[in-house]
Amino acid sequence: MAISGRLLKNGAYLQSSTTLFVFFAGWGIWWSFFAVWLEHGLGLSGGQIGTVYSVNSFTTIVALLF
Amino acid sequence: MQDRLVLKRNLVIVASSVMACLAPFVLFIYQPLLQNAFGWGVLAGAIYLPFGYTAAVGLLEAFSERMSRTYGFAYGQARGWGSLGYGVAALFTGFIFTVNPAINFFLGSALGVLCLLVQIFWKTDHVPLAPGHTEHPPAPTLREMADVLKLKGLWVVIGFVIFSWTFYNLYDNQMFPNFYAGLFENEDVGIHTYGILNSVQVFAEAGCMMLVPLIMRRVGVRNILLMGVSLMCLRILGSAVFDDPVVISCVKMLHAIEVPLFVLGIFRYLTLHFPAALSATLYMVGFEIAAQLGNVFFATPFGYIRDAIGFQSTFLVIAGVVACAGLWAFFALKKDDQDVEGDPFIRSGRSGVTGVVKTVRQ
Repeated sequence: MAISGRLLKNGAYLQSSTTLFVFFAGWGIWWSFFAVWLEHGLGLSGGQIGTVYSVNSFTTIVALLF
Repeated sequence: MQDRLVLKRNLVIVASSVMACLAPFVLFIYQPLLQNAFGWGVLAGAIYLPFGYTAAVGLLEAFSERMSRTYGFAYGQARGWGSLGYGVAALFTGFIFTVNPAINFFLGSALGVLCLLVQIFWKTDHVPLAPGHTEHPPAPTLREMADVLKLKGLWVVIGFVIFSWTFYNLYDNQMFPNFYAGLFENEDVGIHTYGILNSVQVFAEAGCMMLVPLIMRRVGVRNILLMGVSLMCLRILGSAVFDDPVVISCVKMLHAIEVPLFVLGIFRYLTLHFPAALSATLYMVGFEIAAQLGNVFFATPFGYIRDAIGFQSTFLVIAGVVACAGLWAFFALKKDDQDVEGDPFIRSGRSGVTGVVKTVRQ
């Protein structure tokens, strides 16, 4: 990432970058282990984990459309 | 313009608030329901997660993209910080997870609170607007999305995305982490290693995002997509036949080059063979919604298939599906100089690739 001095003086760039950094960190801190948590933490079967993912995808589409 | 920015900002505040409630939601509602009333648990999570994460991510990216136009900075340079955040978090995730997953959820909440504070107290009103910034086209409407479905060529893209990208992600998100952790005698070591591997891969992926446009100029759009689908197949096949953690880890790193190949390839394919004015709608329908739709239909049956025949046999089936999709794509995808209705592609020329940087997809 080439970051020029002018860019670092742009308050909107800094605000937007901070937001994205914090958002993705707040997601990555648990999401990368979501499937492991469902299986090893809660003892769900593969079919049940699949159901969680299917229904999540469905409501995500609904939220994307509206 | 400003009104719309204000509206979007309010939605970002909603998303941050939802994130801030992650730990209480998971520990007091989601977990107990999933264990005692499974159907209700699934429903609760499916209502909660899009508002904080799975749908909110598109909103945040769109908001940042719009700010970049209003205030004059390159969106990619802001989005890069998002990938960095994910990568840094992923590095620690595995270690925290083996201590107690609840800590992961509490950290998620804390970062949600931080995100909320940034939205409320860090105003950008005083930042001068970029000279000559223009009104940005509004987000695709339902009507526009229904209209693009009449384009026959888009159905080829939708089919290709569902039977390659969706199946690959189903394998990578839903199955691979559990399969990988199980390769180690001590499962905790597996979880630690997976976390580190995931983090390295996110950084490698960011590097490949810069590299792929250069390769694309040499080999063309169609070939980039065919390379992407071949690598998907290779990676899934690799984890179906090997069970040595080192080999599987190396094969996992193919992901870092595969994602940029596919995502940038699809985007350029859409802007090449379809009218450029429709690109945002086409990307939404042909890629984002198609991928989620495939997951709605296939995540559950493949979960049951995995219960019945085990991880590696399921991987073979998935690799077979992706291989068929690749073979079909070889005949179905248009050549770069065929039916050019958007921005023409000039091989090895100056023609750049409109980059979208996306590293997190489920």
